[in-house]
Amino acid sequence: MSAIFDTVLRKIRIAFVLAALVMAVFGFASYRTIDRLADLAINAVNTQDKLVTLEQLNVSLGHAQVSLRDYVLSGAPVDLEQFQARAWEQKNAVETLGTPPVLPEQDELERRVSERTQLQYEAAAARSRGDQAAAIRVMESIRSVEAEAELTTLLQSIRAREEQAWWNSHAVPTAKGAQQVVVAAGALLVAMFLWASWMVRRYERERRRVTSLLDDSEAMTRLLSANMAEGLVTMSTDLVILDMNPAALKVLGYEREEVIGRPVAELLDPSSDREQLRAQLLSQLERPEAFQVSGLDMLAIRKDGSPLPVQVSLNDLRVGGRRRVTVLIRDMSRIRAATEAMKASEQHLREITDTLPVIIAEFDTQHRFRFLNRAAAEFLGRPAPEAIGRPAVELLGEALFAEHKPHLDKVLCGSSVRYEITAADATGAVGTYDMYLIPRRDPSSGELVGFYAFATDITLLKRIDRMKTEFISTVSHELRTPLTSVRGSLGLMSAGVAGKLPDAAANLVGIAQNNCDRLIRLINDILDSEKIESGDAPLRLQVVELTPVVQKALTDIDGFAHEHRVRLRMVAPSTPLSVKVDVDRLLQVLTNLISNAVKFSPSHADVEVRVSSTPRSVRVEVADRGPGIPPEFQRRIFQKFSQADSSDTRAKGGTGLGLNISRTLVEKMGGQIGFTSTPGDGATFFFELPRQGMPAATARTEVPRAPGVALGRKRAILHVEGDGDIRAIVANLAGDCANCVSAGSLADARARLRDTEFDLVLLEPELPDGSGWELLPELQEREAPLPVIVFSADHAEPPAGCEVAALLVKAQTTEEGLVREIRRTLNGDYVSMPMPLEQ
Amino acid sequence: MNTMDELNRILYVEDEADIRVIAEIALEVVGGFTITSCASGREAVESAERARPDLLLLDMMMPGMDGLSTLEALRALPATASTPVIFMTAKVQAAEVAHYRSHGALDVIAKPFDPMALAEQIRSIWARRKQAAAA
Repeated sequence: MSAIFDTVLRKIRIAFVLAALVMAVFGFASYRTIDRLADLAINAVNTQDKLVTLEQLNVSLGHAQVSLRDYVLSGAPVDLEQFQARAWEQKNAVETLGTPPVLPEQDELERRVSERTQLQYEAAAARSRGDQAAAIRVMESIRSVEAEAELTTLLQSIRAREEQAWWNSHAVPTAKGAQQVVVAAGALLVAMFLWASWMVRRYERERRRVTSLLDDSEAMTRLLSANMAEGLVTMSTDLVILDMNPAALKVLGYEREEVIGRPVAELLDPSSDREQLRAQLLSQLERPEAFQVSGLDMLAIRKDGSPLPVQVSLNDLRVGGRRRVTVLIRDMSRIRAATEAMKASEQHLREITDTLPVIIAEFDTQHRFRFLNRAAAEFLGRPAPEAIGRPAVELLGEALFAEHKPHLDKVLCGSSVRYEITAADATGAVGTYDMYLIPRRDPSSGELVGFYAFATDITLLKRIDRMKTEFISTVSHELRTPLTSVRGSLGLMSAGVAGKLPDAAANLVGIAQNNCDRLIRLINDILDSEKIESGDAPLRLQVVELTPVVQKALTDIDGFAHEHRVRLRMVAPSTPLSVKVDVDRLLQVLTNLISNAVKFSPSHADVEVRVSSTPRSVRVEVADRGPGIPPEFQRRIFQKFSQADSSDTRAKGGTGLGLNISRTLVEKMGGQIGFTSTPGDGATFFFELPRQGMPAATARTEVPRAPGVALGRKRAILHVEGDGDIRAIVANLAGDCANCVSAGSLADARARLRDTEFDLVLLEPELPDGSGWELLPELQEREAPLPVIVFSADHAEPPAGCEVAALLVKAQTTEEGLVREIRRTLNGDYVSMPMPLEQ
Repeated sequence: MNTMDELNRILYVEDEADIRVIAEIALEVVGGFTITSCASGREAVESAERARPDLLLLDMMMPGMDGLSTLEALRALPATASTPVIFMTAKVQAAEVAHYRSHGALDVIAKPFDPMALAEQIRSIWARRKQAAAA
């Protein structure tokens, strides 16, 4: 606000200086003009006087000459007197002109006039003597004539000069110029007056506006200080209280009138604070510049004498040119109480985290410790304050940190991580820890700022778990051994190996045998279930085609279905559907679902196995026409040992674990299992698995090989083909599953067949040296006939009586198709692996 | 492979006497094989030369010498240096079966076995082996 005034005042000041300068210039100019005018006037008068005197002189000179001439002519004494008078006048006129001497030629003029006068007196003297002729001679002498002429010339030149001067004094229009200057100066003065008065009015208006603003601001300040939550004390430089806002009065317990005019020191604890504040203030006030001191912790004394912890901030300011000190008082009693409470709560939390038998630590995004509990400090072997701020790699060591690192990267991407790690603590004791990392986000911004780490020592749990596994394994073995004897004895007895049994005994032995079988299945399932859940039997996942696996399951169970007089039907699309599964385990699931369906189907009913797909998943359904699943049982159906009716156990021979195992397996293979059922109208069990992108990674598609063969040599293929490029492609394709030997001609092929044992021949009938068909009878006559796949350029029919494994046309066969056919043919002669007594 | 002949003589090692009795009946009476049964690995090593078996049928879990050490000892003898072997075990987890096969077993037969099907099971394993060898 003062800035506005400054600007206005500065403008006015500049204006006055300018005006003074302009007036001085105009005053000087006017003075000069008037001065010149006066000079001119005097000059004019002088010139005029000179001209008049000159004229008089001229006339006197003329009169003197005329009167001389008259005397010379007459010789009368009257004329002589006349002449003497005129001569005296003439001399007088010259002298008049010379007092004061105004003409530069005065001396010369006087000399010439005196010379002329002398000549005239000479002529007059001659006449007086009566010698007229002599007088005339004097008058007409060369001397007289020359003197006369010179005087005339001199007078004329003076006259001409003075006339010119007179004219000059009148020719300059100085008066006009002076008039203009005066008019301009007057106009300027008027303008300046107008401008000055406008500025003054403007200044006044501005002043009023700013004053009102100041008034408002002061009112606002007062209002603010009145409503401020913090106490505000205003005091003079000699530390006497001038004002106190309501908050300050309230917190100190005074009335306003009681404190105004009192020294501020009286409000403070006498022991130390008084002197401290006084010293602080006085030292500051000694210096002229403004100061600010904040955050002084002091003890104020209330009116009732009770102490009050306060925080004080000091500020100085100028009010109306006087220096004042404001003291901002903050009541710290509540804040201090809150701080105490917080400390207590923190202590409480710390006690809890320190008591927990879990390692708890917090890290920032740079893996630096931000917090750790006692268990963590004990693990690291250093007190918590020493670890805070230091990077994990420094405290854990490179090797252990490297083990954690991938998980740290993951948690810092925002997802929780759980893993197990084996590590040695500070004392060297090695333990297994269950690690749980949880990302930590800023509560307001949601930004990831670090993570929490929880580590539980599960060494003991692991040991117990291992004991449990060993126990189950041992128990199952120990149970199997006597069961082997029991089952064996019963089997032999019921088969009549030890002699024919009476019917009643045979019946009883049969019952014993059935229940023995059930017991064995139960043990198998318990062991299986335990192994799958504990992860001790990891799945061997591979990408395979689904339909052949389903087909195999149906084949395996066909005998069982036949026993139950149930027909199995399969509906599957012809397109290959790839899934990533453990083939053995998928077969186990399929066998379980299909055998359940068979068990619950009425005689002569169909069990339908349907394979379908979406772009993302494949689905296998097993539908029966049995009694369906009772609604009250549907929720428990996948639980362990859950069977709709305990009598079913006996009737159907199940263990109550099959569906539970199936569900676990499907889920471990990334899929889900479920069912739909209408009681009385059958049930449909289904599972879905994620579909794999590749149409068929046939390299590992085959169903498990027969035992023994797996360890045998790699199979060999003979490829008979005239075209070198195709030979190279096929050798490359087939290289995965067999040794591929190429032959470019019929003769070449025969030579190879003599030298090497092959498992398969891939044959192009069109060969450079004859027809490939000629080879077929030779191959079939061998001791071990070789299967042949015809791989020809066009659709070729083999000659009558020759059998081939497959007929493929090059242009119509994909690379995958060829490899699949080779594999199928190579595997075609193996019987499937018989399952041990496990179902 | 010293023989591709019919399967006839089996050297059978099983520490559990009851099971031994049952298996003997199952293989001799039901299956018609000639069985030399032994109660331990040591006994098997002693009997091997005399028995000249076509096939070794070894129990896995035995006190003292277990199935694998028995096989190792038998392989050191000329009579059984390359005789095909089938293991019998109560531990039939997939991983265990794979482990046994990796020791050169033709197959693994799970306990408890069906005595009436045992001989047939062994015959089919034998047939498969012949097929594989011929191929």
